[in-house]
Amino acid sequence: MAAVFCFTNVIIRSVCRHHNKNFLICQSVNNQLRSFSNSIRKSIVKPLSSNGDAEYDLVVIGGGSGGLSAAKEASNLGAKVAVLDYVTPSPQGTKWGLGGTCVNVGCIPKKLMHQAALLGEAIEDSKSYGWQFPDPENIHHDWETLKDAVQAHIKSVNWVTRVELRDKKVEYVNGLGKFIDPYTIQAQTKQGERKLTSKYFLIACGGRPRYPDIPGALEYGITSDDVFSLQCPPDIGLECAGFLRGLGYDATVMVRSVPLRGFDQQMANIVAAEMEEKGVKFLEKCIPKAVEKQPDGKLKVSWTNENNEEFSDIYDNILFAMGRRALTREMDVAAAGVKVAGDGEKIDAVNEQTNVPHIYAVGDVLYKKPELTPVAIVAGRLLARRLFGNSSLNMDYDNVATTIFTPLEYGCVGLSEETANKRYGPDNIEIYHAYYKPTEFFIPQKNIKNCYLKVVALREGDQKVLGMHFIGPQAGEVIQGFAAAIKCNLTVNILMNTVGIHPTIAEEFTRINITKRSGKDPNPASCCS
Amino acid sequence: MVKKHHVEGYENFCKFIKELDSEGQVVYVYFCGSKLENGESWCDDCQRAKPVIQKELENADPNAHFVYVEVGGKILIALFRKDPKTKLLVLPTIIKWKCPQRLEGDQCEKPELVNLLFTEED
Ligand SMILES: Cc1cc2nc3c(=O)[nH]c(=O)nc-3n(C[C@H](O)[C@H](O)[C@H](O)COP(=O)(O)OP(=O)(O)OC[C@H]3O[C@@H](n4cnc5c(N)ncnc54)[C@H](O)[C@@H]3O)c2cc1C
Repeated sequence: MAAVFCFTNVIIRSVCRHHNKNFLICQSVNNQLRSFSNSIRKSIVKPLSSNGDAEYDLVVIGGGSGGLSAAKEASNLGAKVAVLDYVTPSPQGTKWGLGGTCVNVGCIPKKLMHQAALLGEAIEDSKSYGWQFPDPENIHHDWETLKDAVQAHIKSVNWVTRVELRDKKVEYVNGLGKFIDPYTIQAQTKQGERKLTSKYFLIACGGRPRYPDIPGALEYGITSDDVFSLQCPPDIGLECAGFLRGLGYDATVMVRSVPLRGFDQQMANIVAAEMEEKGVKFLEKCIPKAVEKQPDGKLKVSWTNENNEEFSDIYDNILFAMGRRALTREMDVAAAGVKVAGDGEKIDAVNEQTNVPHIYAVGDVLYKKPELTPVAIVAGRLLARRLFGNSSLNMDYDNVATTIFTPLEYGCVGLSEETANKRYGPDNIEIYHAYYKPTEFFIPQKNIKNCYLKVVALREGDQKVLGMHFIGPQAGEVIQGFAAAIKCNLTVNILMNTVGIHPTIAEEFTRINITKRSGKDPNPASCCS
Repeated sequence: MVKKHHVEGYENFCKFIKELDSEGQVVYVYFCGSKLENGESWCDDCQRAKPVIQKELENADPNAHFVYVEVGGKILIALFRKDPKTKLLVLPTIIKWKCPQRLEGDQCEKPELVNLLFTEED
């Protein structure tokens, strides 16, 4: 038996595993994932172009979340727009259609496979609710059906995207784009080379998975680019972890430092603990050294731990989830004079504007910005409005909510406890926290140990809420509305005076009353109320 | 020129499409309201789509098949709606058989979209 695990933002954000087979998920979180920068720097948008007779008003390089959103909005506002999108096949040969990471190899397939896993868990739970299965031992999951359904959905989204672009008169160029000078992009298409000149350019190339520089990684490793379309691994099964109790459950996560670096560490540890309880093994502070193919086709992975001791083991698959690198080099941004920051591949833009005034960037390519689809979409749309619609509204990268789709989900918005303490000093911060018991967990006697939430607030006055963190079922659905509340300056006072919806899990946020400072037990009373 | 076919009703369609030997070529299926006695469809949207589709068919792969389906009355429409292969929600609808590509409603009136359906290769 096996399961799909979906770790959002552990940098890979999804993991599958195989029937009776070990599935090593290798992860190091060595690059900065997201940082919610507080500084909003001002800049003058709308430079005057020195390329008055350019062919286009806007050429977008990268047809993913950010690029498409900007392109469509710009075209709505009357601009003449072209979008270049080209997917270079992964080392394993996987490729896909128009729409970028989220649609093809990110959020969408990840969420669908997460749902498949949750349904498996629901089947298990439903037995204690009285559902009877004629042949319970024979309930099994068919990977190929899932994979085909997911891929069919993706293909229909690819098509709808093409129709939308055509309908909005955005020209789609299926080619790899490269700057030749600040005003010209060269597209390498099937039909040959083509040059496009434009008044403005938008770099929206996103990123691709990183591989470690170790022998065997490229030949034998897979990444999130490949996992959602794996061709029928022979006897693969895929079920939720709930199914796997007592079964030889054998996925291993190798972590270079700590899981979910950059997130609230208490919450991250609870997420990891929940996974461990479901049978996933963690190898912390380990670094992979080599991958070798064995005569029987299995993979021998060697690694060292923090004391530099060497280990190795045999796995069926190794999946690298080591973060992503932005594709600026391939696009030769240097030829346009665009500077890169940090690790040398991301772009440090101010209000999405690069150091070259008529060249902009949105999405995962941006330095120290959250790598999330809605962030790219909103930033792209707002930028198009500033360029072509007389708007002056800038993107607010603060208080962006996100969710990690691990079996028990983790949703959060705003500051982590660590960041709040650092920014305001622990004396000025109040942390409310609680363990809670989802009503529907009682009957199937599901593990409630890790159902936990926390509110990070300022200590004085009405206690302005700075961050909210929630681990439990449907965490994404729970946290979204609170993200809006935080934007409206939510305080602990207001939260406590909000009447809950009973019985839900989201209402637990309205019932907070125990502070960490008080040292009181955050566990709920034994009975429900 | 594409090979044109014409069927009426759900059962006829199922039988036809099952027996059609497209020799590996693309099959487009166009669903529209049945014709009235005067030869026009009762569905205005279908009327508007018709000339557009006819014109754009000239750009389609000459080896492709084009199946013109008059869906018939309400009950028959429901059958087309429930069939996972057709999932018909709106009239008119044009689909690339066994593929995700489809155009629905007023999309079928837009030459640039119909053109995309008939010419995109994937
Ligand atoms: C496994 C996984 C799960 C995820 N889950 C979530 C989630 O649950 N929620 C969430 O909000 N976010 C999630 N994300 C993140 C989300 O997918 C990204 O933040 C988002 O796609 C970024 O959009 P973008 O526009 O920057 O780039 P992308 O969507 O990556 O699009 C860039 C496009 O540009 C193309 N391109 C690159 N260079 C060129 C060039 N030179 N010429 C032409 N085309 C080029 C690429 O092929 C690609 O199609 C996930 C990511 C991954 C990997």
